[in-house]
Amino acid sequence: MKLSIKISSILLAGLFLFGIPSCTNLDEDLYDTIGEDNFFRTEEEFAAALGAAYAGLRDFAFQDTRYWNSNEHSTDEAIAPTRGADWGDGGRWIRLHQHTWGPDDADFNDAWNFLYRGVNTCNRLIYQFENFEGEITNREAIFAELKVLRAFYYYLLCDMFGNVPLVTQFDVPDGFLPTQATRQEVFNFVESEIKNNMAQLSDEKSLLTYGRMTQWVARAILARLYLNAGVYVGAERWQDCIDQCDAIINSGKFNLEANYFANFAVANDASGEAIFAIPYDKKFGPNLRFHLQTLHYLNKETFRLQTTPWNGFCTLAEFYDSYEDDDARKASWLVGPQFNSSGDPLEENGEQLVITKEISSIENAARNEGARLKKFEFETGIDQDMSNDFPVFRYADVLLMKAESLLRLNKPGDALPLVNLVHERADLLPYGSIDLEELYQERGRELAWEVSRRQDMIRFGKWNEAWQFKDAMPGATHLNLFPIPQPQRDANTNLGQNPGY
Amino acid sequence: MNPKFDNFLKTTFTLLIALVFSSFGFSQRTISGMVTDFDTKEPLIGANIRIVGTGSGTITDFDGSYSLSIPAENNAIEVSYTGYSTETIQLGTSNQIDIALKAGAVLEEIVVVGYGTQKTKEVTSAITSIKAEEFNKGNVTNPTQLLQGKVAGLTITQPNNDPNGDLGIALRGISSVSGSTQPLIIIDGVLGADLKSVDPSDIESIDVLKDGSAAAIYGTRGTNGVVIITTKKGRAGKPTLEYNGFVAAESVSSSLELLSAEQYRAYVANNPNEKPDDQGASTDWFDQITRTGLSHYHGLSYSGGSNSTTYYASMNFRDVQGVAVSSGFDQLNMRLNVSQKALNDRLKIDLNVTNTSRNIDYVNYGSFQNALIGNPTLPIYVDEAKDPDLYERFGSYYQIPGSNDWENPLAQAEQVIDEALFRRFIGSIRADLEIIKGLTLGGFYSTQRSNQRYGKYEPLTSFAGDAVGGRARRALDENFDQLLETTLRYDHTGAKVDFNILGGYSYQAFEAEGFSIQNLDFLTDAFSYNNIESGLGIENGFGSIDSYKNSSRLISFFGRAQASLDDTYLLSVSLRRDGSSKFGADNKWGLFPAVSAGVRLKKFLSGVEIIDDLKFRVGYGVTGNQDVIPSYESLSRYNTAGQNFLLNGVWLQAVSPVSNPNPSLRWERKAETNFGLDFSLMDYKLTGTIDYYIRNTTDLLWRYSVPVPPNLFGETFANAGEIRTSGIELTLGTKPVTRENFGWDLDFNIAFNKNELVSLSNEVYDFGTFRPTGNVGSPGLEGVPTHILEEGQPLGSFYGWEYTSLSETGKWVFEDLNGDDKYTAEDRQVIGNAYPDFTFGLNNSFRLGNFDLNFFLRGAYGNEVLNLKRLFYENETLLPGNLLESLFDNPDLKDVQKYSSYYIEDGSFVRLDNATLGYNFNIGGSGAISKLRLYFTGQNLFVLTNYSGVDPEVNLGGLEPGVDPRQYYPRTRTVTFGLNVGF
Repeated sequence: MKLSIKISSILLAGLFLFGIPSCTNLDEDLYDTIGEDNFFRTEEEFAAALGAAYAGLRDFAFQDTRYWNSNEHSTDEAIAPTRGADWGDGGRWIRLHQHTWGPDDADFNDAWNFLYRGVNTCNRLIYQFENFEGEITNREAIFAELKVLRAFYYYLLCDMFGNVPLVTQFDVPDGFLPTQATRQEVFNFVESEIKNNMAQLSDEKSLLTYGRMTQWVARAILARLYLNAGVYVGAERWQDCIDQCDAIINSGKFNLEANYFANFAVANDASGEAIFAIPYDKKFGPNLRFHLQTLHYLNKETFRLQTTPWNGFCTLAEFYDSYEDDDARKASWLVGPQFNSSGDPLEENGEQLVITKEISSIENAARNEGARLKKFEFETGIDQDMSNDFPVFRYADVLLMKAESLLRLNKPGDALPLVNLVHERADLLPYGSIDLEELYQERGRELAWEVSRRQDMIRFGKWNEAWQFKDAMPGATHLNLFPIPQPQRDANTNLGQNPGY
Repeated sequence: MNPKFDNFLKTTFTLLIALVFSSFGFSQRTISGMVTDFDTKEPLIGANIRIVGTGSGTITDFDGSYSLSIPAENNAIEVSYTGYSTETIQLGTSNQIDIALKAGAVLEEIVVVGYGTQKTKEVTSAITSIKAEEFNKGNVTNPTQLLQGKVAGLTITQPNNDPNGDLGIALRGISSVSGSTQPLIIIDGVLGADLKSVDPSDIESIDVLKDGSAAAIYGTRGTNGVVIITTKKGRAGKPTLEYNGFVAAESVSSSLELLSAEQYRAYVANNPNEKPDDQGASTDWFDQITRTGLSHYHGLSYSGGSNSTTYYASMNFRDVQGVAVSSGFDQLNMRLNVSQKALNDRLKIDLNVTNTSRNIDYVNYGSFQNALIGNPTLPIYVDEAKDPDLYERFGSYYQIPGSNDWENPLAQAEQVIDEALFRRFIGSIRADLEIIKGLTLGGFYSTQRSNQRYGKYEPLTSFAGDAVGGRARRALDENFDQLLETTLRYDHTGAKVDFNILGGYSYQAFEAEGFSIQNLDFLTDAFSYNNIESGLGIENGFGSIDSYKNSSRLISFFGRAQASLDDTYLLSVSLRRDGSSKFGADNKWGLFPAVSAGVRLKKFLSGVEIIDDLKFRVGYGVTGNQDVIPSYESLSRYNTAGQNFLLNGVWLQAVSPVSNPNPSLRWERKAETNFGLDFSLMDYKLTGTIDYYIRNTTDLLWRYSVPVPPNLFGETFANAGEIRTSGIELTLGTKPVTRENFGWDLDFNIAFNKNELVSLSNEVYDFGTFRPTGNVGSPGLEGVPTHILEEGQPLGSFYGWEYTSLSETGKWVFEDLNGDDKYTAEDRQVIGNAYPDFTFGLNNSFRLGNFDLNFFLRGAYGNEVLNLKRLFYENETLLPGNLLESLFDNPDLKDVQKYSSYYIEDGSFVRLDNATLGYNFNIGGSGAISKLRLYFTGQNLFVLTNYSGVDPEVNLGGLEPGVDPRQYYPRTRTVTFGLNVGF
């Protein structure tokens, strides 16, 4: 009897006591993520924080981010035709190709989010570093690097959307809704931000600066900005473009690779031509997936891939035909009979697979139609991700930018040798003369799928013309800018739509 | 039992008895007799007999008989039994007193409410109580199935008959856009217990708290209703041993009609575009991967006890085969429930322990899709003589190397090892101490631990393993929670007023953690997934390793007062203050009040003979829903995942934010008003309940679009928006015949529900006025939404193009709303709704002599289904994959597959869900066997519907309900033969 009273008292008392120490404490314990207060304590953590600014750049060519999609599928060098039941996807590929897109197209919102995530990361790091109480080595250089990287994102925003919010603060008040800046203001910001910070950047071209903002990357951004200044702000800046190109050329740090394809090899990080490349790696830096996007399903056996490719992206026959047969760069494209890795024919329904350059219809193409990209080397045996780095600014581009600016300033004699450097590298005989039309074509062949074509088409007045599966849209100049994505306008009522949408 | 413990109990017991009797002196007599059912004359086992004016009494034994010593000064006993009206009997001179209790007096039944029980007659909220004898019979593997169709307003959908699949459960429709409709499950007081931890045969009753006023005592977890499961307990008296067993055969009842090899050959011969490979075989792929699944179940339970100690122990084993080749599970479940009274019955201790282990063999849903699209002219196996390389490469199965959309479904089912072991343990102890008369202090502690050990291996010769050199995966996940609750309760029973007051504190802590490893590139299949380090994949950058851990806490204070005046006026008031660690810093705590009142009108209608009882009640309660909030979502956090960057030729880890923090994050708030009428008519031959409710859910949780910048991410998990639902529920029970040898019970329930998405915005978060959602899917319709969320419209609305006809060239003609001769996004409109207008259940029970027959019909009306299988596989564009035979119904179609109202079908149905025929043998009381029953049960015997697909009952959860998907599992029919024996 007494025993049982004792037992029950102890039991009940125990039950009560158990609860008391943490009776009303609702703080959360974190295990597999890091709380805000527990970070930025060591040099390594500091470097890791800085790295976030660059890690996010891999979304540049990632299919889900759709930055690349928006800028390439809207041109005459890329197409994803509907193939029977495949690749219809609610018509988004066709709308991009035929310039019938609208503010609701998710591609633009995804691209917007990618670009502003980059801007915000830079803003955040600048803010956090400013408030960091410890010692920061190379303080000025780090801030300059972040600001130039942010300017790079704003250059891309200026290019795609034009009239966008110009936010440089991280610690904004609750409910803060930014207002739009004009394209001119964004342009001015990019220009001044780069000019003001360029001097603090490294002028090296080395492993240490590979994939990062250097003086040369800063100049390449400015060169592109000036090259397109007529489009962006209606004021031509050809000489400014030449000056930036000259600074890069005269540095002596860059050279054309003897072999065009060295720029796109699996191990292309040693390219003497790379001014700015985004490093990718199948192990450490995923999200470059051209092999899946472009190759035919059966090409899985050609490259012994772990994942079946998607048989999607190709180029138009007329773009493929713009290469002379002797042009080494024509091998950028995959056409003809297909074989497996042992050299045996790949068969579909009992017949050998032959990839044709012609595409019969954008709405119902056959599975074997359309030339596929292969200028990026496809590493045997990979899964979803490639290790090739994606070149954003190449030396060949700088040479062609300078040549174009000279041509625009009526100096064809000065332009010709620059173009020929690039032209002859492709095993072709040098041009005897050069005009703007030929230079436009040459840029296309040299820089195919490197996110330059849309700018070129707009700058050369081709954007509203017809090409395969796309009608001419004379006077539709509003299409030079993509629409401000509807979800952004829904979430921020301060955002107006670009004219014409 | 441990002899020492036994001794201790005996001593305690003897002392207790001595204590009780010492106060009454020694003048007494002994009465005895039997307690039986008034109608059937069957003995009632475990009926309570209490000496009026004292706390002592006894219960009837296995034959319904009792024996009780009565002190001389007492002259009345009270006899009660669950489900029967309580009788008070004045003692005469006779010592032999037999009592016949009238059944059907539901008002005396006890229902389980939050933190206590209540008599049905005093309930002022919408609560439905289902007892074991009303449960669905047959090969029931999940306790939810027991209730299917039985509770008005509780929709339980089984999207397919995968034995390892989950059932969708929703109470009173949808009240959240985040898609969570899972009610709070409470098993013997354990909040948030896992349904799979209880074997269906161990369940005594299930009570469903439906409205806000009943559920508000559970605060932030009450919105989706509360399902309280009470397991069987021992009863004092002779120990009983019971065996239950059955064997069941399950076969495909409904599958897809595909083109046969001959039809396929003929069809493609006429098709100019496709020349599929004809390998000359004739294969029914579906037939290859299905079988008749044989299952068996054996359950033993042992229960009994004395006045102070009762126990219930059980052990259940079931082996379930799915109709899909290599799918199913076997499960062993053990349970021990012990109750102990001490300290003059003032202390009551309940100890419940249950342990379950389940071995699962998973089905590969993709194999059904591959069976659907598989070219029927392909052989199952490779002819070794013809192609020895292919034969060896894929382990004799025929495959198309490099195929992007098909692999051999039989190889998928047979070659791939995909299995798991689930183990669940729940232990709980409850102690209730009556401090002074009427005042009870209660303490409750429970711990629940479940873990899953997962293993998968795709051999070198499998299609998936071929390209990667075999792939192995192991994972271990563990969930652990502890609950501590203390309550103080005061009960007062008076002549005019009864009341009770309850106050309590609850603390629950949850932890989840786990890790997984995937590796590939193995030398041999010999290791399966057991030597995962021997693969070269991880070293080459192709494997993966994951681990995680998170925790959360819920802390609550609650109180309730219930009162009854004159047995006529009823009132209940409750309040809970709930806090969760998952809520944002600005909103850690919430208040959840409820009030409900009722009036029993019988008193004012005493002249109306036909009415036995009539009660009007009204209730209002506020509840919350926080299931879908992940831990840490309100905080600013950093992670390294996928964030490497290259520096100086070396890849380093970067750290970046995980999500937009939201310090205002909180629960979804639902306010519900419920009006109800309970009635019993014609001597309890007709009983019923009508409920009408309006629920308003605000602060809907969703990943709302936010502007970037200033936000880091385009979406923030936040609260905004409002949903309103309303409905009517009717439950009727009748007993048209109640003769000794023939009885007929008829039960019917029906529930109407409608909902409206009132808004999806507030000052901060703007969802826009409408947003398409869902995805018809690849090929060709990737990113094409199926549904729409639109302010002012019901949820579950299909959104697409309205089909009108086919053009002369066989192209789709849709309604062209903006008249631009194109079918664009602007031409879409609402083309149907997935939710039914009403659902119903109808149960018939017959008893004729020793036979009993039960059949149960269940159905829904007005629900529509998007038939994705037809949309894709009635279209020749999908060649060379196989197609549905029904494509011949629309031979003029010459267009690619498009989403339109053409594929939205009426999904109304009536299903004969369950029919059972049983026979009870007459067994003499003296033999070793005291009870013997045989029964046959058929499940899903037929479905009446206009729906052309496999089955109209599809998943109704989430924001894209009512889609009959392409990856599927066939509908099955099960026949069970079972046996109950009592010893």
